[in-house]
Amino acid sequence: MFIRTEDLTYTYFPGTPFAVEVLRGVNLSIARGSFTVLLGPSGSGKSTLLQHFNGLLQPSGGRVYVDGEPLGYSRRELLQLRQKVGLVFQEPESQFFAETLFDEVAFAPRNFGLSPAAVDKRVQRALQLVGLDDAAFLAKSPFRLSAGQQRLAAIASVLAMQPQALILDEPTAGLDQAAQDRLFALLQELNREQGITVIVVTHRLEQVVPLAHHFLVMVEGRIIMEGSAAEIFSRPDVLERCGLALPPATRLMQELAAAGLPFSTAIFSLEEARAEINAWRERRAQR
Amino acid sequence: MRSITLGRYLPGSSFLHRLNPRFKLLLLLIALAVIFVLKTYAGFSLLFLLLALAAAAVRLPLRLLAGMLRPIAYIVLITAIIYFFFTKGGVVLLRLGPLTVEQAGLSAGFLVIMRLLGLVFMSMLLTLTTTPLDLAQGVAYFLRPLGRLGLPAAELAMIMTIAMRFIPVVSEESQRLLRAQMARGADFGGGFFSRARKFAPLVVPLFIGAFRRADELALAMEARGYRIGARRTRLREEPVTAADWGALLLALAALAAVIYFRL
Amino acid sequence: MPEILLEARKLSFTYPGEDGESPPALEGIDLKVAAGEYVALIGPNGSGKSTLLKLFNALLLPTAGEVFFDGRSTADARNIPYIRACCGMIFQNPDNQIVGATVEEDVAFALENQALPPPEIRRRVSEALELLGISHLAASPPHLLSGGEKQKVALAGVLAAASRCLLLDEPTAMLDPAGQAAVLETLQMLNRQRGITLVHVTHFPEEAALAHRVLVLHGGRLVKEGPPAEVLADLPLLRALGLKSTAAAELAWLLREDGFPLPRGIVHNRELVEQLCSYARRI
Repeated sequence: MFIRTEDLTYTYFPGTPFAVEVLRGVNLSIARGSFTVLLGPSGSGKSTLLQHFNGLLQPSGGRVYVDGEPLGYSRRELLQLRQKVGLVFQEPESQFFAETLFDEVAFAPRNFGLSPAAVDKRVQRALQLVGLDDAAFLAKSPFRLSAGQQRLAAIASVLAMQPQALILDEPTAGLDQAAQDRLFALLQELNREQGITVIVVTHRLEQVVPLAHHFLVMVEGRIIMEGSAAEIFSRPDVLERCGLALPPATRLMQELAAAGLPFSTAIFSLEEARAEINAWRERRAQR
Repeated sequence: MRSITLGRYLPGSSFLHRLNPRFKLLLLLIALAVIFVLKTYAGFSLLFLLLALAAAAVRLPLRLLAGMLRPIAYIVLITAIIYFFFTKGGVVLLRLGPLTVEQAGLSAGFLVIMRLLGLVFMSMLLTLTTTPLDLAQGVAYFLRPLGRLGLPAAELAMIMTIAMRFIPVVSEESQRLLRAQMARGADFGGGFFSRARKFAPLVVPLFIGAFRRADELALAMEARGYRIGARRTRLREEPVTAADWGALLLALAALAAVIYFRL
Repeated sequence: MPEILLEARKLSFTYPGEDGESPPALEGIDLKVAAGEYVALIGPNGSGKSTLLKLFNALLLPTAGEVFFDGRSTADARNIPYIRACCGMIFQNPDNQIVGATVEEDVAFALENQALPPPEIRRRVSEALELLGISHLAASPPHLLSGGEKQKVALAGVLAAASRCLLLDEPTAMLDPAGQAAVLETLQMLNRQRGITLVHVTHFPEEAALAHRVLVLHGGRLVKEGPPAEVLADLPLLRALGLKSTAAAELAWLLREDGFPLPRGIVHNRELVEQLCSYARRI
């Protein structure tokens, strides 16, 4: 297990009349090299949970383990942890401050005290991964990139730490279809080719389901369901009660099944739906 | 978010909540005058007794009160030290090497601390029982005569209102940025100068975000028909009640009493 | 002939560029929107969708051509108060459009700008809050609401102002599925029950499918318009622009490629269900 939590609780403003218990005993395990999707309605505590994985927040109760070790919260330990677990916030391009794309992406490796040559290498590598390695980009202001490129650049600025796990909080928010496709292709490559453990919060199920191994459903500060797509999406009643949606293909197949057609509802992508319906058509043609 | 409780509105329906915000501002003004006229221990005891009663009426949780006083604790402490050690006169009460605490210093320090606490306490009572918008409208009312001198009173009120509306938004945003940069290995610890240098990754995006936000907000306001200089009405024209006048008269009477009896 | 509420004639718009040579954001747009119509506007980022919305309620003025609301040109400054009063706008980020310190103060904002008498404002505000089912939030500060609730507040503000037309710039982009569903339901209700004209910019094909008519913008030009069954079933065009269609339309297209005898124009799930059921009955 790469990341594990034990009875993790977190309370904002503890001891004041405004105290809010956001995490109420979270137990989860995320395997090294896996692709995990964290689902949950807004306000369920997803972002708070993610910030525990790289020590930005310190639990009010319970423990977080990364790579088998319980987290320590000294400056040195935190700095090490943040290289291991990269966290991409919502709308990460809003954190840009540097004058050039190079400096923006170099921010993290420089913070870890790498030599200029090593920083240079890291930046090149990170930009290459996200496909912004054209030399023309390096001296460009990050603010002058397109919306999709800005998002990729922000992810590169975290990849430059060469993390073993990459956590992304709603990475597609505000992007158009083409940019979303590109982003999911990147996540797939990082996970499959680079072996990076990916944890992502997203509502764009049709794109993420084919990539994911593992789903966690969080409601009111607790993990209420976890498992494979088949296990999670076979409970549309639970999801609906939590204000969550099914992957569009699954929903479509459920509507077809409800109309009396003999289709499996354990189908999560249009390609699977296509195969299921074609198989049915062939069976009928043979009769 | 340590100072989350400072300047925060506490929903409720106490008599302080119901007073007209314009009158509350006047009351605060009179109360400030009272504080600066007061000079006896008896007078301050009476004042704090009244404030405690008001706090009870507002149902102010003690924890909240403590939370609000914490940020000013340093100011109180430093003020106290300065007065205790550097105001001279009367009997020497304490001797610490070359430093002495003398009678005059003790009473002057005490007076200043009492005034400071009273001031903060009363301002808090005001902000706790008045929504920021009401407060801004109250201030705007008193600015209105200045409109004739060419001061854009209504616009100033709108600016104040919006500033207050966005304080929690911007404070959340700065927290988020702080963490986002820490996630990229930024370390905001260390001495003052190394910290100041490290703040560019925080301040630059905060400003850019604020400008973008201001831009969008301006568009949204324009789209909703806001025009600078145009006549507007208000959802709530705060009514002035007998209680408002009563409270004002009482406060004036108290001020007169304090002066007359040299409390 | 239904009453035309919004009209663009040979509309072009170029943002004042820093280097003087920025390409036009919109070029040669001719468009009419009838009163009570629900129009969806789709297109990749930077295709000019938001710009078109801002031209409709005079937040921007055309560089060439003209825009009319209810027969009044946006170029005439005297028409602007009328246009803004009749034509509400909802932005993507609910945080940056809420002005009031409480929900009811925000809902009242447009009415205050119209200098209506306070009792009238109060009546309209409470009506609007009730219609959207957020009366219980009247005194809440906006920053404590969820995204979906914030957008409802914005919608209530428009409703209270008795707007006849609503311009929506990706109003659900920052919401979770529940918030999205709530906002879409409200929009349908406003359109059907109140006859409010909607112009809805969206990235989501499922949302565009709810409209009466879909417009596709690309590179500042109107490249296609028609009912959802026509536009959203035109997969080759959408794909060429990097867009997607609804799950039903995409699946129907794939199945037809495989030789499945399906008609064109399938956009909604129920249409695909009907077609497959009738196929099952026939064969």
